[in-house]
Amino acid sequence: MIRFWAFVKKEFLHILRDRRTLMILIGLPVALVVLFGYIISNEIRNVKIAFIDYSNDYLTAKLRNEILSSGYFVEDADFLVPAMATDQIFPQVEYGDIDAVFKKGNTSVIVIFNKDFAKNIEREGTAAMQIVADASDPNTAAILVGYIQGIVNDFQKSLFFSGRESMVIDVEPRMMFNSELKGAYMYVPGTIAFILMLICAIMTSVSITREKEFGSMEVLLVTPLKSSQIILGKLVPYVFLSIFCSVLIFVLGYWLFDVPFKGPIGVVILLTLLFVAIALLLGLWISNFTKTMEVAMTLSLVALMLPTLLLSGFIFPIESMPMFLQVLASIIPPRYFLEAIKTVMLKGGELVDVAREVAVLVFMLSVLVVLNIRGIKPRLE
Amino acid sequence: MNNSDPAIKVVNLVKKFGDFVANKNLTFEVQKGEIFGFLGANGAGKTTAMQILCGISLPTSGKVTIAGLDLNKHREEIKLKIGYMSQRFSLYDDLTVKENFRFFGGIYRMSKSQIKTATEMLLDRLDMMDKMNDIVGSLPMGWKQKLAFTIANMHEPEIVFLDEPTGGVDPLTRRRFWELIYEAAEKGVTVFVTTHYMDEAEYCNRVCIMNDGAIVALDAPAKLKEQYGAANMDEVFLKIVNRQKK
Amino acid sequence: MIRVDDISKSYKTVKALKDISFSVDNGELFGIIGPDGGGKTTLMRILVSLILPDSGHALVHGLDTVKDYRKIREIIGYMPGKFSLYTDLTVMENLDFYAKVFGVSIKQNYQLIADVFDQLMPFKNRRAGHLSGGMKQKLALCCALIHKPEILFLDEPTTGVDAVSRKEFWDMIFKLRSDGMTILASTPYMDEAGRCDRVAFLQNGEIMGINSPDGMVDGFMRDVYAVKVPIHDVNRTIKALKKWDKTHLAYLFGDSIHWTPISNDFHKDVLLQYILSCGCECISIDLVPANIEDCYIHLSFERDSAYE
Repeated sequence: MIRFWAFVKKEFLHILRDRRTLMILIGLPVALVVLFGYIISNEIRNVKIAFIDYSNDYLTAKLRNEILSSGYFVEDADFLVPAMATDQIFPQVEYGDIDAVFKKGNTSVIVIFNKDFAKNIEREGTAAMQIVADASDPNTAAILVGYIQGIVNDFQKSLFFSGRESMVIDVEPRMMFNSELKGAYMYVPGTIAFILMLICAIMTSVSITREKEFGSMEVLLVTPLKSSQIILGKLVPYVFLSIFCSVLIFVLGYWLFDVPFKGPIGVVILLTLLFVAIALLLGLWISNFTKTMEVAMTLSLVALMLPTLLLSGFIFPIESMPMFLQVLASIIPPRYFLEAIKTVMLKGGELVDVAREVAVLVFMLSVLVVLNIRGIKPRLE
Repeated sequence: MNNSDPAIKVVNLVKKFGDFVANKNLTFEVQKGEIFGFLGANGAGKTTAMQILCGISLPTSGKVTIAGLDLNKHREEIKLKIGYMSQRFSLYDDLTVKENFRFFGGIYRMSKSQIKTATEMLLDRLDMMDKMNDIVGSLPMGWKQKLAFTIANMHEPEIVFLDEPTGGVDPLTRRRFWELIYEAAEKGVTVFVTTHYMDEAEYCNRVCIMNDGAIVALDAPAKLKEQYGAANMDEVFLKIVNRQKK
Repeated sequence: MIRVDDISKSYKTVKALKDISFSVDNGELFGIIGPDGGGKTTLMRILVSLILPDSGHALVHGLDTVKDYRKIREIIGYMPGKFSLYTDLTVMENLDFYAKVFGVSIKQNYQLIADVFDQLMPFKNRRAGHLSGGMKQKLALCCALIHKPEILFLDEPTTGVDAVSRKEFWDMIFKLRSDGMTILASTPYMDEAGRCDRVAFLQNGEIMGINSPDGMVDGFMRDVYAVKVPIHDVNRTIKALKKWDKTHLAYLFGDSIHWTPISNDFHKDVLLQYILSCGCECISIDLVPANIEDCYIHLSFERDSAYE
């Protein structure tokens, strides 16, 4: 065991000595989270909104005003209701036009008030409205709907009518184009997947091939250290580093940008550790058949980082990919990690809700373990 | 260039890297057709000086004249007049003999027909015509070296720089290589060579020994041996370096 | 001791070792001498259990390099040709690491490494990458010795090291030998052969000869004449001698030309006459004792001729 810990200590020294890489490994997740967080919170200022008001009474007018005065929304000039001779205001947009309005590209949200809004509230204590958001940009859409719901909630509390204990405004949110809201807040799990791949897969494969390239692997193998000890010793520091970075990303997302964290934390930790193990073994596997750092780096970038960015559902929704890419996406681990994390973190799912993803990840892990055990060699060839 | 002019003339050459002085005020001349040996321990400043003479690196101060041209003004012209070969890199192992000739000929702005005639003539002289299309990496070490030297001389340079051309080569091949150097020198080519083998220092017309960035000895091997009362150049070198240490 | 029986090894199309056999006795300093690409590194790696031979087998202290590799690794020290310590770790961290890996402390075997260790101590907090070439080799040797190995394998420990550091390094190796360690060292430098108890000439994957340095020279049957000519006549003289029908070999050797006749039944005046008749000057001709390098040159020449 002394041997093993001496080896782990040496690995830590390598990591600590290489200040530049260490700064990148810690700086990059911070930069990515802040960047994504900032872009998203910036996008929801001055969002163009349009109203379809079938009721057009004093309550809807008041609510419209509330929404507009929140500071986040601006009424889309293209659809402003023209001033008429009468007090009557006619909505320019018709319900059937929604599709066309969104396609025009400027408007992000349309709020629709059903007929007799005020009358229904007064008589029955309930009225209905719809929020339709353009969810082709799911991150923004989810946040916008959330804001409007908040405004409506406040508004509803301020309403008091005699004889009614509470008023209910029935809000039906709808996402157009991406009705299931894939990818909202995906940047947190996405960044985690990306960073874990970077630390675990690339750093591991590079650090092992470095020993091969510099010839120190020769010396290590000729010592009483077992090959399995060498490999485990290589992995330990990166496990620590990746856990540190994951925590950093979660914390930043949660505290700075209010990314929801609904599900049980235990499941998130389980998923993250599972993914760390898979990424480490992927890096290890790559180092099995590469001899130079250059090749290991290129291979990890092309075979691991690019799919993590492009095919995992982090940036592009998998459903809209061509069949061929969907098949490809179905064999990459980050896809299942993202899916599961999203379910737990953003939707509040439990372990049972992500059982399928966990099963797939465990399967992938076992395949990698087998592949890597075969790859452990006590010699140079 | 006048025939009596030196091939290489270095006056007060200084090269600094930050605070570190790699070459301290070097002054020497190499005559036309001379075989000039450049010796020194690791880190003595040999490589730095050689890089400056080849025009790869700029001197901090001092005047260097190569083949009658001022190094500071005519670096590109100088590059056409010199050849270079080193043990570490000389030919592309994954190209054929012919492709190597074509590539290096092209670098030195030879025309296609010039390259063709030169290739055939030189390979014929090396008795390697049948190896024209062989991959260089598959040739035995000795042949590779001959080939590398021949290619470094293909554009008929006035001066060839050889950076440890015989490192790790067997004794017989090493000697055959030196016979090639002698032949080139007889044709009037100036040879500037560095080596770790002290017996090779004996083969030079004159040798220059560097230590700590400065020239500590410069003369014909016979004279140096006499001066230091040594039986061979190995002893001369050890005596000089040890004296410097104290 | 080391025993090598009929070891062969090929890489793709290249035969790196062709049926090599030899043995090294306990306490012997054995040199493997040959050019780059001769097979030295392949042989070393097979013996330290890093690669497997295609055929044949080798025993290190009676342990099979293939089957008992784990036990072999406990008792040997190995210093590969390339500097392979951690350049980003300090001198002390490197030493510490190897000591712990072998389960020893630096103090335990201090006696063995004392000389080198004391030379290294002024730089103990310097990163290994910032050491000079000679110092790097000393550190590598120190790390290879830290567990007091029974057999030490040194693969080209002096390549790329200057003449002064080379001499110092061989002094240290020689001292280890005097303390009874078995040492197998490879080198491309002929002048280092004299420091070994026995040497093997390895070229093109074949052993051309094994003997003690003196034995090599004693076994050399040809007379060697050292011909001194003015430097401007050297090339012409060599060319003329090569063409002569009495010549076995003529080659540069230090400040003279070494010439060996086809038959030893020969008078040096004939040689002088021939040189003068070719229009070359001649300073002196002496019958000299053969040097180990003469032996090597003849062996490799005879091999080359056998192939052609």
